[in-house]
Amino acid sequence: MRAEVLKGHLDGLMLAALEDGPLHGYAVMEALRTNSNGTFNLPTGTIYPALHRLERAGLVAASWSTNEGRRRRSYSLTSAGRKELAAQRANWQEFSSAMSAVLNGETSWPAPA
Amino acid sequence: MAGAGVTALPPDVDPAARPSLEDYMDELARGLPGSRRARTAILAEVGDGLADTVEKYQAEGATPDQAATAAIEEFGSPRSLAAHFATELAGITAHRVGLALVCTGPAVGLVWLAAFVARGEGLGWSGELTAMLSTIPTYAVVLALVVPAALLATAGAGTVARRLPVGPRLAAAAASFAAIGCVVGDATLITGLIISTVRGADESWLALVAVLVSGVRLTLAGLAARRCAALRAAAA
Repeated sequence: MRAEVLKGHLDGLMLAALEDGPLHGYAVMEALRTNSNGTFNLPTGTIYPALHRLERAGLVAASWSTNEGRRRRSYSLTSAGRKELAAQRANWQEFSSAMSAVLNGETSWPAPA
Repeated sequence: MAGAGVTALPPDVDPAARPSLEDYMDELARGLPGSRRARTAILAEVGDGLADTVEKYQAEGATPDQAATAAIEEFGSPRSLAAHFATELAGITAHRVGLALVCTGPAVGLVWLAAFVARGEGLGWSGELTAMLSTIPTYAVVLALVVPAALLATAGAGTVARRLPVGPRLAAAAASFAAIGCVVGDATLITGLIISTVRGADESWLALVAVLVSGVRLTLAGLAARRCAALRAAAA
């Protein structure tokens, strides 16, 4: 799926990827790819600035660790990030239900007699 | 910053893949504005990510050179990547500059007011404040412009950014404007004091403290204005 299609949803996807624990940038990208069965195969270069944007907004916090001589920056959700993730999930549920209803011709009221 | 990208690559990167990765990192380093600390951190993070990506392609059977080429293509243009990082740095820097100005403003103002009261003729604090602002009307104008700009700059990051999403570029512009305003304001106060001293006014030691405090803030504000302007210009 092309990156521009995901515009506007990338933040929610990254917050969801971090829900289970801290991950570094490459691991976030791999989590998105794996959890979407390859549908979300984003250019790696878009992930790092996006993570910095989430950090700037206070939705994730970053920390450094050293593993086998390699310095690694990992990100974890803040409490504000968890609230934002919950809000994005609720918005998506509402949006996707409405889209399905319209695209699939479903009606939420009884058809006229 | 030429060559700075070389030290950001992890030591365990395949030597055959290093040359193209080093070129990429050098070009990224050249396009990154901001403090040395911020640039070093970004380069270390991207270097780690590039190393992971190279390892992935090598695990899939690519030669080191092929893996490096594929990794670089996946990361995209170093100039574009630098511009996106510059956007984030602009927001964070604007937030810090705005906070610093908002926090130090009242303190600097109180030091100057104390200097005026010490010199004054028993008018009291509110009387001296009125006298000070009417004597230096420019300062009142500067205050009226700088304070809202500094507050707007804090929207570059954090909770304020979530509630007031003005964007990092506008926040950086506001931070530059507020910092320049502080330079003008402090210079105005210092100039006014020098003129009154030359005219024979008897200044207290508080006046010297006020000059020192404003001198430090003027210098730091000037540097901050330049940094915010550079970040804003480099932002995507």
